[in-house]
Amino acid sequence: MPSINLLALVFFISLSANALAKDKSIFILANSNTKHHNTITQNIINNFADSDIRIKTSNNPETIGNYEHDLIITIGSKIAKQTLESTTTVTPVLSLLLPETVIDQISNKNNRPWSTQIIDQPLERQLLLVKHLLGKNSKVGVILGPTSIKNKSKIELAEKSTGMVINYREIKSPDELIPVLKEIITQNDILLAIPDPMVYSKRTIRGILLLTYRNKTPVIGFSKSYIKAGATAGIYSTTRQIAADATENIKNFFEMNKKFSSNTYYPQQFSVDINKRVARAMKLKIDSQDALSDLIKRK
Amino acid sequence: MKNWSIKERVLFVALLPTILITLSLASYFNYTQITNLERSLHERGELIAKQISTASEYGIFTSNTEILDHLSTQIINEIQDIVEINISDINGEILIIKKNPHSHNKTSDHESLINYLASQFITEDNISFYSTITTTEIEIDDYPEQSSKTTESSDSDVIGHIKLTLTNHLTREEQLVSLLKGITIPITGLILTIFFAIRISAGVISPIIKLTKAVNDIADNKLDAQLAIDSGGEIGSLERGFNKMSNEIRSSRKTLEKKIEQATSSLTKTLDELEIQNIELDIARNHALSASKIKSEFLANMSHEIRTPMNGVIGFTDLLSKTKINDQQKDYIRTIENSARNLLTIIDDILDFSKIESGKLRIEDISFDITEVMNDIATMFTPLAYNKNIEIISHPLSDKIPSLLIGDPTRLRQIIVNLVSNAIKFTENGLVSIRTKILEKTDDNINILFTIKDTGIGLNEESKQQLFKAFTQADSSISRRFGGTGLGLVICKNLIELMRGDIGFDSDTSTGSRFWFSIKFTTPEIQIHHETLTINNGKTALVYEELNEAMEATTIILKEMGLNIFTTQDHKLIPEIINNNKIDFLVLGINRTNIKNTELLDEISNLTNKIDNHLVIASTFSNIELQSILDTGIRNVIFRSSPKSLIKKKIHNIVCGLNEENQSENILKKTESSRDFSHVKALIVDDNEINLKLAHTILNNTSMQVTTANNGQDALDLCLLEYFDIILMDLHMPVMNGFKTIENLRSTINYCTKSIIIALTANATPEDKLKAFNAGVNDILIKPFNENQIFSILDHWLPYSKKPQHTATITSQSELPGCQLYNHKTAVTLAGGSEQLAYELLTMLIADLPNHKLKIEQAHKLNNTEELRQAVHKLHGGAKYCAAEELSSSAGKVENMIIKNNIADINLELNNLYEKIDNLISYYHNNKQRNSLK
Repeated sequence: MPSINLLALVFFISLSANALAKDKSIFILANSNTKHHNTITQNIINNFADSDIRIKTSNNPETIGNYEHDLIITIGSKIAKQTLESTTTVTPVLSLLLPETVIDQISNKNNRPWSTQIIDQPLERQLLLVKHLLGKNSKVGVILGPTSIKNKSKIELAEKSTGMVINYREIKSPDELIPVLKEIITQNDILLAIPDPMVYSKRTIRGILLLTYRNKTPVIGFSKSYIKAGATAGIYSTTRQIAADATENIKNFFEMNKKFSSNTYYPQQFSVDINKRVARAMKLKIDSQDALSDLIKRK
Repeated sequence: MKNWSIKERVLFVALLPTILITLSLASYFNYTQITNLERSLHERGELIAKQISTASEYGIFTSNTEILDHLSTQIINEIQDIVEINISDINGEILIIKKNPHSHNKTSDHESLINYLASQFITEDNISFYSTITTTEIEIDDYPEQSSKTTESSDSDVIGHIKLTLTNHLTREEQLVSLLKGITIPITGLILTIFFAIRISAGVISPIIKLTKAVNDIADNKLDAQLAIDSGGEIGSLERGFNKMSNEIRSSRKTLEKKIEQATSSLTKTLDELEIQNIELDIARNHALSASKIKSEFLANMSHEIRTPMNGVIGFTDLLSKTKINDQQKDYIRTIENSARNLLTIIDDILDFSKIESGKLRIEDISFDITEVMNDIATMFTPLAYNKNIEIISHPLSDKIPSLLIGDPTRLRQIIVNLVSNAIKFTENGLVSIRTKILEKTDDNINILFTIKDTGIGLNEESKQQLFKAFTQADSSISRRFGGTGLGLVICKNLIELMRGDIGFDSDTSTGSRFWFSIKFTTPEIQIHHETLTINNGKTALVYEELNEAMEATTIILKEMGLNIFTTQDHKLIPEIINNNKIDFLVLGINRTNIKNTELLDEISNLTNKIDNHLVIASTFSNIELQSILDTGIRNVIFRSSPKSLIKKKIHNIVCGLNEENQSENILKKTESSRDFSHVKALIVDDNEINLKLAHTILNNTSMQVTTANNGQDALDLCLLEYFDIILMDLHMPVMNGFKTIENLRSTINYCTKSIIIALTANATPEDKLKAFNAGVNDILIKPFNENQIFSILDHWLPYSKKPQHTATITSQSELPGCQLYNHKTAVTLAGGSEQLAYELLTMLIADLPNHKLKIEQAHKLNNTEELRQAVHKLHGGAKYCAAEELSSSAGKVENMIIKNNIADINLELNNLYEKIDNLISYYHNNKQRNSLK
């Protein structure tokens, strides 16, 4: 029994010593079962390995109360929602990997400082890719679902800012997808996929890609997987790039005395990817992928 | 399998495993192939359905029926056994049904035979396969928010359904082809195997067959059989070995034949010699047989020839003894008579032995009264035994032994006589007893044991071995001492064996001998029922007998009568027993040794004077001795040898107080000749003057009117002139023998057709007896005969000539109603006063009536007048002597009608005769019990 007490004392002293040495702490909440989440977490940890920021990770928002943190980082919509809606802490929260359309669906009950680093690429960045692929006069078709309809205004703004023709159609049920899709791809030069669970689910993607492929209509995807599945090209942020953006945002947070510089951060680092086999089938003449990527990043 | 040839065995061994393995493998592979084809069909169907579902995903997703139609058409064209493809969406709405336009005409490219077989044996069935069409999911794992939101239940993945219908026709065809191949190949293989097995086995079997044939040739004596050596290995060695063996056998055979020739030659010589010897032996045997036959004939003739003069010797000796002669002369006469009788016995023995040896002795099967036989024997031997002063006890027959038996009474009597005679001969003092015992009794048969016991000299062990051997006696000194031929027991043994019986003996030189024999007799259905005399009112008798055997014999009679018995063997105890007990009846036995014991006789006399109810049984046959007993005052005396029935009758009368005056005196009177045949006319026919004279003398003494004749013809002539009541006829005579004479007398017109004819013969074989009776004799008298025997015959056949009989046991008789049918009184009178005999005669007549009737009917039917007359005559005689008056009268009428040749009216009378026959039979059966037939 005395030996156990002695060990507990040593552990407490050790913790106290760390606390004194590193006064900045981050608590990362991520779903440990998701590969992307783990990768991002690990990259963040790695990025702060040599800093004085103490990082603690958990997959359970309920454990937040056990420690004091300077910043809570949530990865993914589900964790973010649980943290913001269920926990009582007032520690600032930075939510990573969050679609832009989801932000409105989460209520920040304690009114804590909350900033989001969204996953979606800015629409203009994607239109720029279209422009480089098909030219600025090409007509861009977009299908919006119940979730993505919120981007309707952004689409209209982007159309104006880029001068490109964007034809969008809204569907309210899955049955409308094929007829609308057929219509969109026959009327436009390219289909720009904006994430929406009803339109671009894992079940519909194959059909959409096959239909567009048969119709020789290129598709701009929103993730690497999409491009790999058959989309012609796409812009996306890799986990490393997301972690790097997050690292920057965290640093800014601490530099700004633990305040966020913005409520919403768009991906600063991104990748441009082209499915060359599909692109060849679509008879698209594309420069090298790196050159295209540099061109877009420069803009 | 045991009888299989080598070829069959080799083929069996070679082919059976091959056939079994081939069949097993063929079955297994065919089954596997057919199963695989079936499974392949199902797997292919499922695979095609799956492929169609995958290929249809896009068409369903885009609701593009053209794509689906194109897809289905393409698949149907590629896969021939698809009958139909049916694609429907998630809601079950059919998007397309594509049928294979050639599905019913599709046949494979196989041979026409297969098509024919397929059409005959294959039933086309369609098999449906179902598959769901699902969307192919593409995981967008780098945009997890997108994925997670679209997670739904797996059912939502289904976007349509595929129903694929395949025909199994092609598969069945393939299965059939496979099966045909699977059968054809093994069969081909088997045929080849059989072919090679036969070819290879032929190489082994053929030499063996040749070898077998050669061995058979050797066995069939074809010793030049040789084998061509065209095989190698062991078979080659065998062939060479066989040839060598064949040569050896041939060589041995030649050597053997040479030896046999030599031996045959020697044998032939020997056989010739033997043949000569055989011929000589045959001649010698014929001589011997001839000599033996001559000897037998000589013996028989000699016996006959000796008996005839002996008849004269004995007869006249007997007559001489009755004349006035002094004692010395009487002694000489007795010696002559004894010598003659001994000589006669010897002759009889030789004659019998001769018959037995030549197999000519026949055993009769006739009905006889055993009681009579046993009584006769007791009576016969009593004088002989008493003369030697030894007791003879004939134990009474058990009531359980039927009186009438079927057998040969003459031979039975001969056996017992022989054994009793021997017993008396070899016993100097003591007693001889005769017993009978039932060994076994059934409804139809009875096996009786006869025992003759004596207290004589007995037999030692050596003597026992010699017994029953011809011409030997127990001891050579016995011949000298006792005489005899030594044939007696041998004859007895042979007779008993002929009667299917057994004989044996126990003997000891200290106690005597016991000879026994058993014979099985048939018991006739109809029996004589002896009068049962019982005393039922609890009377008590005291029996005094000194000898155990005598006591036993006497008490048996008394017990049978129902008397209570006290016994004593000490006469001094009698008064005490009488004083202490209530004795109603006294039976006192005087045995042979005491017959002259005056002291005892006086004592008995005193006792009998005190007790009226008494009977003295005396062991004597002598009237003098009897008189001396009577002189002591004893009244009721009876001979010990008296029949049981007589003893019982006497006891009954004495105990019951019936009047039987001077009973003992009656016995004496019995011995007196008191016959009066003066009115009787007799004819004696004999070629032997001595016999003729003897018979004449005896008959003449009775005052009978006697006429003599020397042959049958003379007798016939006499009978044409006058009537004779009785004719004594010798059977063997010159000119005309007795048989022929009797036949003529019975069948021709003369005065004596109904006379009583007594045949006289010295050699009464059963055949002769039968022949004599068939000729029509009434009785037979065997030579040598004596006065008593003649009297006995006369008493029997001429009873009406006798004075009232003192021994008659006839009680009062009365005629029954219907006496015309059967007159009992007359019948008894005709039977010499013997009720038993009368009944027996009637029984015999009744038994013969059906035969009589049949013979009469047959003769009448055949119109054979002579036979008819003879048959009616016989019936007439029989009926008359049985006192069947109606039948006798009717038969007489018929006979007269025949004699007078009045055949025309005979039918009516014959019917009357038949009716009388039936009436008499019915009467007999209705009154079967003897008492009722009175």
